[in-house]
Amino acid sequence: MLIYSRYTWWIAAMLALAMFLGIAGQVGVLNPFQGLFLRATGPLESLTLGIFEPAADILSGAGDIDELQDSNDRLRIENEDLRNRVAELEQDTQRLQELEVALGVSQDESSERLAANVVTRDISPFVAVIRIDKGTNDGVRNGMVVLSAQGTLVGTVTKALDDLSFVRLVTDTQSRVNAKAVESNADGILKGTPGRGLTFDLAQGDLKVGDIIVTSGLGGNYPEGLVIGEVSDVSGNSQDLFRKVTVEPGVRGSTAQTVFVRTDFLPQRLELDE
Amino acid sequence: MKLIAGMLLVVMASVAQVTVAPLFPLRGAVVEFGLLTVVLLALTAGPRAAMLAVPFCALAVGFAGDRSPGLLILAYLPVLPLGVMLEEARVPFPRYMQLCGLVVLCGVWARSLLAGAAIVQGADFAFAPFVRELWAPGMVLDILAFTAMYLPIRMIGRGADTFTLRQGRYAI
Repeated sequence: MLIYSRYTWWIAAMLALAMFLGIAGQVGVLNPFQGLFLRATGPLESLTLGIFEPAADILSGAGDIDELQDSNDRLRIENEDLRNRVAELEQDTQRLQELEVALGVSQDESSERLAANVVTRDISPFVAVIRIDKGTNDGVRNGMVVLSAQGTLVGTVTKALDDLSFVRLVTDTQSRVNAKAVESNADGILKGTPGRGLTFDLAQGDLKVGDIIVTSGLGGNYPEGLVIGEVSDVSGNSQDLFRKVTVEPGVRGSTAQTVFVRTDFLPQRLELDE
Repeated sequence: MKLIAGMLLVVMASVAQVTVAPLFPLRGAVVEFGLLTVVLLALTAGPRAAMLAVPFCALAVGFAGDRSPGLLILAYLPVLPLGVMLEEARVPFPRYMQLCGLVVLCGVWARSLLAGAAIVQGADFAFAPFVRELWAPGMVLDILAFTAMYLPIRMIGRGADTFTLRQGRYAI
């Protein structure tokens, strides 16, 4: 009985501590300690990554040679198709610029981007969070949008500390993005699914495989028009109120090495708070 | 000295959780280094060390991956009571098999709890992918990682190897 009574007291103490830490974490009391801890363990993290990353690359490469070959063939064809589309788009852009000059209207689409290195990842079926090496000292704020080098949406800053920030990827199960299909303009909510995928919920309209999904800008949490991914599967029939739409993310945030924080965009709710 | 070594192990576990674990996933599951550290500390330094390690491990892993330390305490909590229960049940299996069973049970609990928290916060839930992507590969990873860490410790004959507080030199 002594054992159980001893463990019972310990369990009770741990439950109380868990509750306290839960509340402290919510109100941000732990943030300075977290910042100190991460600063202290930073060199150790770099060292560990330096040792294990090459081993992981060798293992994953050896196991995926056939898959890589197939993927290479598919990408070669896709690359050719994309080159043709880029050529068409360049012509369209040139024509658009000429029309803008003729009509006297133009849009400034430049955006301020801050390059950041991905330091660590916390990836599981339900969680997809990365840590980057830029924080509030560099102008990063909670809610800022994080993009890939090509401008595809990677995620959102959920916690900005002094010298680093945590970014929740769009494939995290807690992620919700108001999005729309470019071709059909069907809008809905893009959700992360367990297993690092994406589903396009509540989407009405004629969606088909290959449609590009971009942010719709509704709700003010994301700027409009950021590419998120491509429809990879549409299941259900025309009788269904909402079809099940699966989206392939345009970028695998869980493997990205460098990302860009858009420092010129803050969600509307934060602008109101400030 | 023991305390410093224990703390160092906890810090290493938290670093490994965000650097090593994501590099070697099995389907959707990754090794829970925090959980394994608590088990190994209980086996090598005794249950009292593990009792101290649980909150420190939860804090360190929580800080490194921006997870909730409170939730991680709950995830690591069953290790010691479950270890005692297994010892007292006198299951007719070798010690290594018993410990693998303990690691698997605690791993299932920890992953289910963390997944449950995500589901409460809005994640979709489907039982089949949950078992296929999380539980089953998680069990395999836990056994492999535990074996890789435990066998060398046993080979050099180090450790208290009990979860019971009254036994050995850990009795008060």
